[in-house]
Amino acid sequence: MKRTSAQEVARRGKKIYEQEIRAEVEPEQEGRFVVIDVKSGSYTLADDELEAFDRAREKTPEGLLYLVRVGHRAAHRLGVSAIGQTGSRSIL
Amino acid sequence: MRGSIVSDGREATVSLKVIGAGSDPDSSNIQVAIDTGFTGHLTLPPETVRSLSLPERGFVEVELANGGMAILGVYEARVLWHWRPVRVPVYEADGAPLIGMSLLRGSTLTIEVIPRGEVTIAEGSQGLET
Repeated sequence: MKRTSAQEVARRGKKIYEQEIRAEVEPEQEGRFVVIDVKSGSYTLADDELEAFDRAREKTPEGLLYLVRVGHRAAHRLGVSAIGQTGSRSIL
Repeated sequence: MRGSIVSDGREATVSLKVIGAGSDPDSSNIQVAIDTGFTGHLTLPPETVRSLSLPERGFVEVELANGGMAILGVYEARVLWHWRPVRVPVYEADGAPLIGMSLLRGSTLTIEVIPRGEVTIAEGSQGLET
């Protein structure tokens, strides 16, 4: 049940981002975090993930929140992609 | 912060104290693997998220090493990092707990990549001699 609800939150979050937020924040806010309340459609922009969640929770205490990173396919990567950009490998 | 290389698994691991939320939170010392390919702070398996009663914050989509995508729950915890409690987002993921580059940011990581070699995470650039 949790799984279904997570998928639904993500689906609605991505739709809201594409239709209403992307044009407002890209490319100027690249790299910052956006937390979207998928119930109300409101969003919060911050440099830090938890700060974005905190402020979104203040705005809509009962919200269902979804995290996006501006200008990125996913908010984070888990493991270095074998076919990713080489730039992501040269951090260390 | 010091740990050791796990010789058979070939992972660089350290022990991390993870503290739950609330006025009298549970805490747990967890052996975490260092994953420089993970751009976030910390992943924990579902059973650890439950046992520490971490508060849920929302959901996130991450890109996996094989290019696939996964939707994960985001929780909040405090970890003891350079002897201070720090709030971090926790991603709920199966498998071994990982720490990533967001938590390591601002630190110097050195790994002696030999069996039982030393792993050191020093604050700032103090671990560098050159």
